Amino acid sequence: MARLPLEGVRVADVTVVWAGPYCTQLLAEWGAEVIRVEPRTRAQPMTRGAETLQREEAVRASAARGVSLLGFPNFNPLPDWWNRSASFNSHARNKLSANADFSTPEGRELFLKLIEKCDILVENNVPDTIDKANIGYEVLKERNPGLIMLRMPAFGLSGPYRGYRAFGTHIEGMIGHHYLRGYRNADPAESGDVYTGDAVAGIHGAFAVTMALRHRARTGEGQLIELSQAENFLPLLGDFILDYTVNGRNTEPQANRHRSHAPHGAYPCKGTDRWITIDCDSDAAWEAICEVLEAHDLLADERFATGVGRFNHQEELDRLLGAYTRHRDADALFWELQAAGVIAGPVWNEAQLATDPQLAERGFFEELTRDDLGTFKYPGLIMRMANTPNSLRRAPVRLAEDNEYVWREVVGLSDAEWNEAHANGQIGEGYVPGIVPPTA
Amino acid sequence: MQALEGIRVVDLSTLIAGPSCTKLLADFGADVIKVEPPAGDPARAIPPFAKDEPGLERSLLFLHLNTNKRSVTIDPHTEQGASLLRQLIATADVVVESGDPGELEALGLGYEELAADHPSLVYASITPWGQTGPYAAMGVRASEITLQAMGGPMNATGSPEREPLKLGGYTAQLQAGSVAAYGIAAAMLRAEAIGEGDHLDVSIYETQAGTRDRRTSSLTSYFYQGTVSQRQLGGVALASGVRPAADGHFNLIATGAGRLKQFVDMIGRPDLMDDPRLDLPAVMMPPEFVEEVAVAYLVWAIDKPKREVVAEAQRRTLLSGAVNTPADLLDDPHYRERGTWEVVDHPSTGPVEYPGRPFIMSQTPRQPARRAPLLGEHNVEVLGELGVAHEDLPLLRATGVI
Repeated sequence: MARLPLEGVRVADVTVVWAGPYCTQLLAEWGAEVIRVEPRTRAQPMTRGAETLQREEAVRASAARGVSLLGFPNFNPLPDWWNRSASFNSHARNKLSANADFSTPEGRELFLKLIEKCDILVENNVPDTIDKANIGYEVLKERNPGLIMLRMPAFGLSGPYRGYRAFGTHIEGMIGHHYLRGYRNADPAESGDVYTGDAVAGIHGAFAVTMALRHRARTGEGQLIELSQAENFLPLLGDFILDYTVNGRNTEPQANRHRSHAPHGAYPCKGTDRWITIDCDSDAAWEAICEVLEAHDLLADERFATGVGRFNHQEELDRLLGAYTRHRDADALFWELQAAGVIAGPVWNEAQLATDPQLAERGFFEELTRDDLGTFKYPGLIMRMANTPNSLRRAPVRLAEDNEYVWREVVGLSDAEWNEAHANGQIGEGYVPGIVPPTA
Repeated sequence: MQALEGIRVVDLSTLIAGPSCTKLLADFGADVIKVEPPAGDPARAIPPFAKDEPGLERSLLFLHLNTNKRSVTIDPHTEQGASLLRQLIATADVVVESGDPGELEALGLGYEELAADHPSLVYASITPWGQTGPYAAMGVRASEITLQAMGGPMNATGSPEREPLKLGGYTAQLQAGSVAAYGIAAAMLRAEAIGEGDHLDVSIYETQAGTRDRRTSSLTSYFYQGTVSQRQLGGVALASGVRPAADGHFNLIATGAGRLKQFVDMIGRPDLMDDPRLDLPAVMMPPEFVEEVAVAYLVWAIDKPKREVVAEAQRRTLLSGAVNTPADLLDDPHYRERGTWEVVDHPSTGPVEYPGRPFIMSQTPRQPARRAPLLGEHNVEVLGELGVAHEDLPLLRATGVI
């Protein structure tokens, strides 16, 4: 197999929830040895599974309501839900896991010894967590001058919101994304939660540490990278921000609208919750849409004859168009519109995506087997490199699965040290007793 | 020293995804030469425009996505243009392109052909579907909304009683640009170490299907238990979701008995802190109790500025945030104090604030941005570097090569 670009790079991963784990997922995919360093004394419910879903009936009830984010194999979180959640396992492939009790001085020293052997440390905790543990960059670089440390707090290591606590959805509010993507003239509660900032923080984090590796290869110098998740997303809203700073326009919620194309949106189709999106980018496309839908009255309607006319009457246009699309099958209409040269695509859920021939032919979904979990498909790589064929290499990691390799081979604990760490509970297979909530 | 100093990028991409990738490279120190068709990158025609007047140098999206680059106009469809491009690429480390699969091969500018003479070249193709697969072969047309619809979490975004919602602006394309920037940085690391470049194939669709905005978790849940996600009603839980304040909305979550105690105290009902009903699972709480708390919550928040509500909630370690408008962002003391915005001066706008760095690197800091280039602004400079004589430029211009 060809040498992966990050082969030989070792990453200590103390990330939580979504943004940080996505960053280290991307690093692991392209060859880095990513070691999840996990506490024995905290179960990290939002990271390794949902705190409220430790029973099968709760998982089933949640799924029945259409909350399908936090699934388990065959709905079953037991016996070890922290090794079984879809949320964790979807990013934990290719990673290693080692645990210890880092709340003691001995545990902290174990962590520092590991940092000496790592090239990169990634974390996305509230800044105080790192400060309280006294493992800031200034401390760590004493032990490892070449260390690259990526910190990904919600709002930053400075500024009035430094200590603010937030999930992705709260950050989305603070960066304007929740407002801008909402329905028009509606309560923003209706537009629901999204977590796009988590994804982009993960990607930019991987980009940043990879650039820092280049700098280190040239100079030997490590560095601290601060990625405020809020700040990080603002460039993706650049056109809205410049419209304000240049034109003074405080843009209203956009829903599915485009700045100049109309019709542009999601239109109802036959069946339950089936929709097609259409992006009309020319008069020719408008004529083709009307032909395919046999909407002769719309084609004849002078209000819709020009792009400007369609744009200025889009509310009415959307309503009238929906009356035609609702009698069509979304997937059949997709192909009919495409054949007529129209930009269109159905809104797909997970089941429809899983059977898409495009993803199938490119091998996007890959099967991984873990004895205690079974064989399942997982979403795979988001880019390909021609000279560096790549695939998922290892099943989602179990908590502490790599203790022996990490603490003995990487850190170099002697037999005596290893035995002592086990005897006093520093290192162990699972969480310390009493940490994991009862599951029955 | 900047992180990507010494790296030259020839950017053949147009519109949004490719240019957003090369913006990241340029902003961190790469020398990005933006090659535009003589009529200009079509992104120059995307609204909004400075003072709402269309013009080649007035698209605010274009100005934002093309900071720190140099612009040359070369028509690759002319023989001489393609030859100039090959010369230019010979001086570069990276090529970024967004043509239809096969389009650049036909002009003699495909990866295989270029890499034959330039083995360390890193060549990134960013397209809706990727270089292979039936949709690429059939030329299925795509745009931001259709890629979000098919690949992204659109089906689970919005209200169950209304149409699915896309994410804001050009999120999918911009995110794909960021993925490509990571891929290029990784491939460069390998090329600089062992001398072998690579051809990166980024499909915007796959960056959506593989994104951690719920989709990878939901897809894994689907394979684990056969279930799919649906849009959810917002703000129905006792102390979770978006609520109105005096000047807009805020978003807060208080779950678990400990946080709920803080919550009821905050909303002026300290008498409920020790109420045993607060310890019940949400579904078991008596409806009249839920109603009483909900009303107290709305009454407490409705006359307070959203920023104050959030500050108070955060003092009590409750996860929360304001639902900000663009005007709120520019006025926000956090971004002000941190220096998030940077001033860029362009002839079409004068000095104005742009969103600046995505992250801060302590040893390789990002330099202040240079404004986006005017169309062909660097023709003389870049072609001169290639050894094209100054007196040949008028002929190249007249024959449509540049």
